[in-house]
Amino acid sequence: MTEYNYLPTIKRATLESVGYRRQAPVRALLDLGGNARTFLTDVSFFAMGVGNREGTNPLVRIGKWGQGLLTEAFYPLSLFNTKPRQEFGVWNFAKPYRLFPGERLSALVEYAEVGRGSPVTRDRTVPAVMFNAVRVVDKRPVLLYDNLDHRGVLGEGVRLAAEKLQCPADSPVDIYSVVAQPTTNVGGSVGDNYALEQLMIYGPDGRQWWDQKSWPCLFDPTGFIMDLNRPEWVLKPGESFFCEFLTDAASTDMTIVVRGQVEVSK
Amino acid sequence: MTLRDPRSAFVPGQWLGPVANGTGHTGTAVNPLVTTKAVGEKAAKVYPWMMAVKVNMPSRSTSPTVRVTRTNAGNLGEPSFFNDLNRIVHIHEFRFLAAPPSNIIDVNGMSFFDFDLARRFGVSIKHSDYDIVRDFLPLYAMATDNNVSSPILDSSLAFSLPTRYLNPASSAFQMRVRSEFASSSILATQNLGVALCGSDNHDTPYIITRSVAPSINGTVLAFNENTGGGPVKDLRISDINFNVSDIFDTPGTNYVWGLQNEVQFVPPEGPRWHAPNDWFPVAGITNQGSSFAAPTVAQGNKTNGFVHQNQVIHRPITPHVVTPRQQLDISLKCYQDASYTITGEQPTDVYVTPIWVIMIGTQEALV
Repeated sequence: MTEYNYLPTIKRATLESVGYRRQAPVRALLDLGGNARTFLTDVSFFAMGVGNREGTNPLVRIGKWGQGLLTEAFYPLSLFNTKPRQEFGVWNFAKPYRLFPGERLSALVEYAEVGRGSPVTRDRTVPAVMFNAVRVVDKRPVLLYDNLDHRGVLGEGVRLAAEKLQCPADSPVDIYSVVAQPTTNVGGSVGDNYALEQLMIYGPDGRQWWDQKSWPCLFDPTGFIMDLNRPEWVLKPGESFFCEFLTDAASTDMTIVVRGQVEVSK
Repeated sequence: MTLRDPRSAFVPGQWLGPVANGTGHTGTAVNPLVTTKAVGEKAAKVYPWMMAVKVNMPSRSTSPTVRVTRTNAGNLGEPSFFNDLNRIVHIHEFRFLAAPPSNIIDVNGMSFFDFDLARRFGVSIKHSDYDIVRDFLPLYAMATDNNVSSPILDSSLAFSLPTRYLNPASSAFQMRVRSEFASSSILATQNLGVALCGSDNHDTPYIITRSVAPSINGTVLAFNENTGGGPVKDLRISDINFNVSDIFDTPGTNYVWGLQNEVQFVPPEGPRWHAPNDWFPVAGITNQGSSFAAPTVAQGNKTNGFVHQNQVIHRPITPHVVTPRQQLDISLKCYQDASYTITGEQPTDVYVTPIWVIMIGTQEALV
């Protein structure tokens, strides 16, 4: 019997609507796994200037390509919001991602300063990443993590690759979530704002978990987020996540981020 | 093999009968349903367990790291938690909280709403057998729950018990409640509401509530559903929720209020849930005076609860097991100063910030 592992991966698409497109929906197909099964965890939508006013709120319909749409009609984005907005950048997996003894993950983080003009007197965010895991042999919880324990790293990528990110020698570990500091000062107060400019996680073989590097909202989806961690949102080989949107606005860009895990052989 | 009524199937945390190990059990009521068990079955008596320690964080320059000890007195010989019970403790959850003391106007030159526990502090946790976090890790990287903002605006800190606790009918669950600020002439009397949430023996939702105006020295709150002294039917408690009536500050003042309530749990049966001197912070109120721009919802205006960014919850995938005589050592590290000044006093008067470290789990008798 084949045993599987579930590689976390993310796909993003930006849909551009120029001019009034009431009659011409803009379409995105997000293919995470190609010929492998994919377990989706969530999808988030972000559109500039989206409010409650009719006419600026894009209308959306989603589904699985090849399996039909969830609804024929288009509905406002807010209707798809099923999860609270994330305050910390926690991505909980649908399936555990197994790391084997000797294997090590690494991460690249980069923060940039936004907000106040000259916060030179203030301390800065300590870049860190943490994987919440459990040892397979004895079910003991284990954290894989690394942090850069000093201040003042802005505007340059920092590679987190310490030994503490390595799987223990005596047991594989199953990773259930990953955490990184989200974009910026959460809660809306004026303070020192540090935006996460880049976040990339590399698997044991050095492969990137996703393609694009510069994703400010990767772990902190700012728009609407819909939970897809359910059996009906497992993509069979060849299926894609499918989204169409309409808007009355003269010009609206909408970004869609789909997170999920691709089933691969161990 | 003895067949049992499925409704009496073992539920972790239910009270399975008298505990004969002298751990504080009072043994006045026996529920016949839950004490029925198959011959030879292990009597795994699982009860809630929790611990709260408050530490004061000095400035980064003078003392960048602080050990979390039971006495808060800097007694370096003391671990953060030493299991001196005759039971195995499973730790399901760590919480790190910072609540503003009264009258905070300013934290290190910033509004309290800039105070970000998650980024100002790091934590290190060591178990007798292994390191949970060997070095210091920023608290934000320990977060496993997304702390939500708007959905909890009008609720307060809630305890979800990792194991359900059977409160037998007619046995009153009691709590001690105290308030840091209850007698202030500036604030109106507050009212702390508490709800014990769970189900009865038939898995029907069952909630009993009480409210009290806590005093500084502690008020006993008894959950007497009727005159019999307890709930009218068995209550399997799964959550304990708190709420505080809205409090508005005096118009025109420049205060940011930090109102702190603390509780202790006095369950009617079984061992204590926590050490006698532990108090658990709940229902801190923050409100903002008129000298500031109106805070946004996300900033916690009239929030009955901690400012959201000042709580970090870490739940390991599986619990950490602490057997008798084992211990945990926890240290906190300042990445950024946490001192604050108080309105009306000299700016040079710098105070320290209290941080709570809370652990929530279960305790299980050795079989």
